[in-house]
Amino acid sequence: VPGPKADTSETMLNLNLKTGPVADRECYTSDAIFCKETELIFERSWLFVAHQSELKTVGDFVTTDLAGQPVLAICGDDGQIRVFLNTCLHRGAIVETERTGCRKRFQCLYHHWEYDAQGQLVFVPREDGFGPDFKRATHGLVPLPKLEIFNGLVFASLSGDVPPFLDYLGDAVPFLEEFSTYDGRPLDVVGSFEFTYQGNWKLLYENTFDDYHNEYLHARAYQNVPGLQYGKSFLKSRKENAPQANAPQPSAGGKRARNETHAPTKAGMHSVLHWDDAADKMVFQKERTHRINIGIFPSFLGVFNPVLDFTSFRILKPENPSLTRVLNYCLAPADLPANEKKVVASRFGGAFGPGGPIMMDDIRALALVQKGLKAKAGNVLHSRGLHQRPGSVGSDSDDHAIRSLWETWRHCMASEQVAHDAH
Amino acid sequence: MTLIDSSAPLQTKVEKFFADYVRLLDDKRYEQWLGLFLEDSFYGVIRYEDHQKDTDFFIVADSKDKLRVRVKLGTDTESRMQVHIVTGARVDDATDGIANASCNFAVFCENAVLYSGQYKVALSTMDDATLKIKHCLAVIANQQPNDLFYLPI
Repeated sequence: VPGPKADTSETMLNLNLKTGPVADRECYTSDAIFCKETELIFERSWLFVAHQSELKTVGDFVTTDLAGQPVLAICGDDGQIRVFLNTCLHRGAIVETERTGCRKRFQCLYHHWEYDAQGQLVFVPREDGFGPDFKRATHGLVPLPKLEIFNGLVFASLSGDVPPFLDYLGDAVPFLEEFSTYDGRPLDVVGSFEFTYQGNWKLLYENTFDDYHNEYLHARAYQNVPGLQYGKSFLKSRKENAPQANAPQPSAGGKRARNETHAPTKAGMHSVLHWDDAADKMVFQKERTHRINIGIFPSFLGVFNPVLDFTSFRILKPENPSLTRVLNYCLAPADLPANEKKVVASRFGGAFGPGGPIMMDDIRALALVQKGLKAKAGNVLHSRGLHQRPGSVGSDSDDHAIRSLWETWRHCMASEQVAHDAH
Repeated sequence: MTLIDSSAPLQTKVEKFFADYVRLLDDKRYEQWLGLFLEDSFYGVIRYEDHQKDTDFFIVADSKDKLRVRVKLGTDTESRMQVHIVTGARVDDATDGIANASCNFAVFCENAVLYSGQYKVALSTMDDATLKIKHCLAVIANQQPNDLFYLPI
C-alpha cells in the first residue's frame, strides 16, 4: 500500500522557502512531509552508525537502523569496519538480531544462510537446489555505498550521492574534532540505550540548541541539583560566554547549511554552571570546562557536559511525525580505569535519560508541543535574537542554531522541486 | 498499615516488606516510602540487558537525597494513578544482618503496563528487627523505557 504522498509544489515548501525564521506547523505533524523527509533528508545524508570502540575486535558488530532500514556494522577479519544492510539476500529476514556482540559467522535463522565478517555469503544449506548458475559471491550482504570514520565516529550513507564527509561537515570539522575526543584522548562507549518521546524529530534537535528554555522549564530541576543553580555561571565568569564573531563555528549541516548560521558551541549552550561546585564534581578532569552542543544534520546531536563530565550522543530515529526514538550514548576516555568508567555510566542515565530530571522535563515539554502543534494557530517562531544578531553567531539563547537547522532542512526538502523546475 | 511484624520469619517479613513498598507508592505516601530506606541507601533502575552485562548503566541512580528530590518534583508533575503488582517474593540469601531479596513486579497506569521486571534489594535488619533498604534495584524488562521516571517505581 503506498504511503501518503507529499505534494511539494503546493503551499508547504513554497511557504517555508519564502518566509524566513518561521516554520509551518505541518512541518512537524504531516505524514506527507515526514515521508518526504525520509526520502530527501535521511536517505541522502550522512548518518551516525556506531562508535569505533564498539567494533574493536574481529567479529564485533553493532546493529541499528538508518532511515528505517536495518543495518549491521562489523569489524572484519582485516580489522576494517564495514556497514551492510541487515537483511538476508535469500528471503529478506534480518540476519543479526542482537544490538551488539561478536561473531565469526552471521547466520540467518530462517534457512541458515551464513555470512562472514566481510559480509560474504559463505554457506547455503543444500545449495545445489538453487541451480548451477547460483553464485554465493553475488549474494553477500549489501554494503552501504558510503562510510567514513571520524575520530571514532562511524558515519554512513544509504546514498552514494552525498558530498564527501569533510565537505558535508564544513566548518563543523574543528568542533567535531574537539568533541569526539577528550582533550585528544580517544573515547570509549560506556553504554547506550534507547528511549522514545511523543514528538517530531526536529523538536529534540531544536531543544538541544535552545538555551532560552533552560531557566524556565528546568528551573525546578536545577534548583535541586548543587552546582546547577542559575546566576552562578562559571562560564560567564571566565568570559567564555560571549559569541566569538571571528572564530570558526560549526554548522548544523556543513556545506548544506551554506555557512550561514551556526551553533554557539564555544560560547557554551548553558550558562548555568557554577564553576566551584563543578570543580568539586569533576571526577577525572579539571581543564575541559566549557559545554559543547553540536549537531550534525539531521540526526546526530552531541553534548559534552563539564559538570557531569561525560560525552553523549543523541541519535534521532524518527518513527513517524509524532514519535521519535532516541539512541542515547554515553562515552568516557578510553584510558580511564574501569571503575571510573562505571562512575561515568552511573551518572549518565540519572541526568540524560528518561530517568533524569532535566531530560524528563524536555520529553514532557516536547510531547506537549507536539500536541499543541495540531492546532492551526500560525507559524512556529525561530526568530529569537535575529533583530540584534542576524548573522551566523549569536548569544546562548538566540535561535541562530535552530535557524541553521531549518535552513538545511529547506535546502534538502527543496532539492526535488529545484530539480523538477530545472527540467 | 503495619510495615513489619518483627516476630515473623524472614521470608514472611520480606513478602510483607515488598507488599508495603508498592502499596506506599500506589497510595502516594512517599514520606513513608522513603522511610523504608536507610540514609546511605541507593535506589536504581536499570535495563535487564545492562544488568546482565554487569554495567552500572542506570536509568535512575539516586542516593536517598536525590530520591527525596525526585519525589518532591514528581508529586507535583505526575498525578496519574499507578498500580504495582508484586509476586514471587523470596529471600535469596541472608548473612551478617543483610538479607538479599527479590520479587517480580509490574507497574500499570491507564490500563497499560508501564514497566515490569524484578526488584532486587539488600535489606538491613534494624535493632527493632524491622527491615530497611540499603540497596534497591529495579531491573526492568523493557528494552526501551516507555515512560518517564518522575516518580520512583
